[in-house]
Amino acid sequence: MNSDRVVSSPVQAAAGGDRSVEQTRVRAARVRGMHPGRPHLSAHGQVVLSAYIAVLPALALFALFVIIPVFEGLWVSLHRWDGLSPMVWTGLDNYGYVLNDGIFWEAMWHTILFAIVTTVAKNALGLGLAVLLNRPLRGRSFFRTVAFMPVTLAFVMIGILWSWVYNPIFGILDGALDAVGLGSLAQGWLSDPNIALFSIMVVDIWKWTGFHMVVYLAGLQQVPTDVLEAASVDGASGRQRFWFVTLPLLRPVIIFNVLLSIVGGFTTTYDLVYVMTGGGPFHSTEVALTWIVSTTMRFLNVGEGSAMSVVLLVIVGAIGLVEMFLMTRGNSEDEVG
Amino acid sequence: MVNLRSATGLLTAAVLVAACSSSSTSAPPAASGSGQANGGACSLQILGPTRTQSGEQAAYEAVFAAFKQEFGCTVTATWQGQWSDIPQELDAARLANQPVDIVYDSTFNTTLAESGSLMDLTQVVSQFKDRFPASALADYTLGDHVWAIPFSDISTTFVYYNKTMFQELGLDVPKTYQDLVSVAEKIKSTKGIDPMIHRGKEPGYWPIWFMAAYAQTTGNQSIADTEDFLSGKRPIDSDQQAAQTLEEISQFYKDGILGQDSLATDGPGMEAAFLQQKAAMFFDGSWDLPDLRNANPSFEVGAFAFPQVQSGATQQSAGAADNGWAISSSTKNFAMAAQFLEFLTRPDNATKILSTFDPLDPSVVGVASGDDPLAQQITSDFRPNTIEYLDWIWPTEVTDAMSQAIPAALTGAQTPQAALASVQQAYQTLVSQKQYVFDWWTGWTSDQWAKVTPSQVPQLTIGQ
Amino acid sequence: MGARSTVGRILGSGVTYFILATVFLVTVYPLFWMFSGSLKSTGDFYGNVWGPPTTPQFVNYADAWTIGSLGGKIVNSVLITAGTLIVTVPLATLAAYAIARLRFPGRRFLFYLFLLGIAVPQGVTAIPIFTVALNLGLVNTRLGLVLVLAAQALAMEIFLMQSFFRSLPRELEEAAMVDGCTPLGAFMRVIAPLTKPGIATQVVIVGVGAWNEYFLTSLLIRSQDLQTLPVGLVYFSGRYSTNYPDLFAALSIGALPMLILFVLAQRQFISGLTAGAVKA
Repeated sequence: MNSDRVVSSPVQAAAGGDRSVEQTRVRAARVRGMHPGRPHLSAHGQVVLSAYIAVLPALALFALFVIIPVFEGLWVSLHRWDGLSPMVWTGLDNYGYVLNDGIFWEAMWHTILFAIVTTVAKNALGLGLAVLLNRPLRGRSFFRTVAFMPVTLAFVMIGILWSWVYNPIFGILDGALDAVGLGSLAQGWLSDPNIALFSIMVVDIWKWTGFHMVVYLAGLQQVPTDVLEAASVDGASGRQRFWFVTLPLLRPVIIFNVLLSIVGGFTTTYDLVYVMTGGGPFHSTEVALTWIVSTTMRFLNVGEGSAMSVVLLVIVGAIGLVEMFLMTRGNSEDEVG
Repeated sequence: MVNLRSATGLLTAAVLVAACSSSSTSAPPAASGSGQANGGACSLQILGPTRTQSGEQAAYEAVFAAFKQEFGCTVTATWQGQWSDIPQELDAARLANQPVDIVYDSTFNTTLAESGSLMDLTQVVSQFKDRFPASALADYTLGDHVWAIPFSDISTTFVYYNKTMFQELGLDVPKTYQDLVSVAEKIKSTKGIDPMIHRGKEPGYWPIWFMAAYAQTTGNQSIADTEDFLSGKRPIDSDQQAAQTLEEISQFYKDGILGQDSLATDGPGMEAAFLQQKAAMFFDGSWDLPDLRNANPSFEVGAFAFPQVQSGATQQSAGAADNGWAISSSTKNFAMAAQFLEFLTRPDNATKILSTFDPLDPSVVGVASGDDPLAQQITSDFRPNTIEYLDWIWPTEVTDAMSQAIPAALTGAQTPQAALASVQQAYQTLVSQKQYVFDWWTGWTSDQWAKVTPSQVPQLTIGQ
Repeated sequence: MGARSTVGRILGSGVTYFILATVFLVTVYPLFWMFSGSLKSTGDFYGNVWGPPTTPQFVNYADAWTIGSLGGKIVNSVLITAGTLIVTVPLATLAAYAIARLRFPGRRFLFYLFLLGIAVPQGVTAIPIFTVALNLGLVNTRLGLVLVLAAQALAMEIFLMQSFFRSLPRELEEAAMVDGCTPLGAFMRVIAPLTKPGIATQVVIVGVGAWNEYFLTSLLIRSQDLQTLPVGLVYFSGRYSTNYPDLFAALSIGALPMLILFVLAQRQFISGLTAGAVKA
């Protein structure tokens, strides 16, 4: 694609190398010269009005189907309820049970571990592959497309595919290890409580790495070549160019990808864990969501399940805020927090 | 409950959507749709899990049509979700004012009956109870009250083996555990494969091991002992027989009959390993047979009972009539609903439906068994020694704790005592948190009974 | 020096192609496995796990189509997915733009409100969601499901989009506003064309999510003729056994629209940006 270098994007725009941005700037300068000092107040009023118009529809929908249900969940968490018979008020009892529920906290820890490991791996691999594919290679756009494939696959199919890849009897993984003489490395991939969670992480990383790679690739292709060339003339090595020129320019894309994968690690693990191990063996792959769903739907303990959700919400919310703070620190004037 | 919850939702919703709160919120409960018996438009609404057998839905439609012809009442079925989704589906249907008269369902009858969602069928079923094998009806009877009628295959559990391989190696079908050990050794040494495989990745399939072994260690008192455990009279963490049961099971692992592979194998994986001759035996239910036949009709499959681990005891294994019909306590037309159950279980009607999945051991008298070569052995050898699944008696929390405890004890990850302690703890948590009582039917108030007892027992037309 | 770099280059590209071959294998083989599984007989499926079908059973597709009544379900799935995207993408993009770019009272509060929305575990608020939908008369309607799914996706989308907006230089809309545009006009004319990568990302994530959604759909849709594809897949899984070849045929049919969406979205990632640049 010969147009790869002319595209505009957040990254390129930030680097100031975009033709269209340049044009707009020139135009803006001209316009500014013609109308110096527009009335300030009305512009501000216009901004506020526009902002509310822009936010309101999303807020209404969000309030209706996210906020209200959360408050109702909060209400349910103060009751003993099986979903079928009448609710019985029990005050904070459910929260006491949650505090004492060893499996819940173990699951919480697995969730955090899962989010951290998969985030690091997806981003490192995604960026690595993107750098690889950013070079002129035959079949590059083909690879961009195939890297997406795993994201489209349904969980029920992923479940059986990977269970069978890891299968100790006819699995393709142990078979491949045997074939290259590493048969001794064969493990109880899903049966060993110390390994199973990591085996599931591999599947999650497999599913999403290609996707992150494509986002990184889009970012990389917009790093202006003249900046890199200038650095090269100044005697920077390839590695230095990557660390000191490319990476800082990629910052918004990195933030984007990291947020996406962290959030995914916390809130979208249910289906994958369910189809891979159902939380076993011995709860070693239980994550917060699988345990909450078991409590609510299997044990029909809707009150305690709701209390767990509230606790999860608080924990993930706190982590999210800290993470927001760390990632956007130094993002000068646009800082929201 | 419905009102309270609707009210909560309405209150909260009103805060932001006052303008949208439409008349639908004040719609009258359930009544719309279920007609009166003598009214012009009689209708019955069925809720059940999605029918997956080809021809099954059509067979139901035919029976519905015949029922309309004879009794003038239209029957409509909503087949939705999977069998374990039924409590949720019922709840959603009630919230949505979608009337439900009849529920097709399974083990969750315990849950549903306990929540007061089902009518007590004792008196109406007595009018046609000879249509069911007593054991099958007992599966849906709690505290002398019948909550549903069995309508499915009666499943049972046994060990499947590769007949051809056994013949090739000159192996006899094992009877005792010691026989099994020598069979397994021979298989391992000559074939180098797993003698036995289990779908242990699915925790819910571990308890059948406990059921079979516990039946023997308790001297065939496992049901009574389980009821004592659940009534608090026989804590399972100090139950010598239960500990011994887990010891016996872990012996399978120690003796190399069942390996860690089984912890990572699911149902299809188990069947694939068996059909690929990479495992010679597996212990599971009669429900696997159609799959095996379908996958490889010429594969020679044999069956034997779970081996004798305790001399002197009868080799029992667990089973039950998998599904049953119940009447929702929200029905406005109990008499017609009861009549429908009678109509459905007339032998020719039941045959129309049940024959679509070629049952090995149908739960309705007069429906012919399928023609599988193993059907005979299952009905004559295994059925008489089949006891109810313990997980139909255990509450879900105990079942799940047990499903974790068994593989933990099997592989030595926990001692039998530690494993049982976790089961006892699950039970105690249940008692303290959810006020669990095993025999809830003894503690019901007359109001609770009034809700699920028909005001007058309809006289049913009993057909042929 | 020259020799060394040539060797290095050959070695390097060898490594590169090895890595790419691996990527190819782990991404394309599963797809191939699904298609080949959909053409196997049951015996083949269990007996010949990793290879291509011995004799392709095209009849599986016909069976799957009739057993699962896939025709109507695909239409429903397409309507639900498209509807969700049409509702949620503009709403989220607009809101994110305001939060990222416009200074107004309550901006910080809204940012954190939506941020917290990401942490709401979806499955467990299902019953309250159902109650709200019920009170609005939206249960068992496509519109209701679309609104619910759109609402669930909002928080994450806003989060993603605002990070995109914040990376754009301020001069852009300042220029446009000085040019006489309102903030929303500036958004439409100058900013929106630059957000295509963000929108493509949203479309992919939300679209795949809506296409595969099972739980909320199964609760909110009460009649068979409104069911979507994932809900319809239960027709292949009985209580104890699953017809895998038919299931895989249904999954293959269901995967096609997603693959098309992906190919289109991936064009947006790369080439769509160029168009935006030229127009601006």
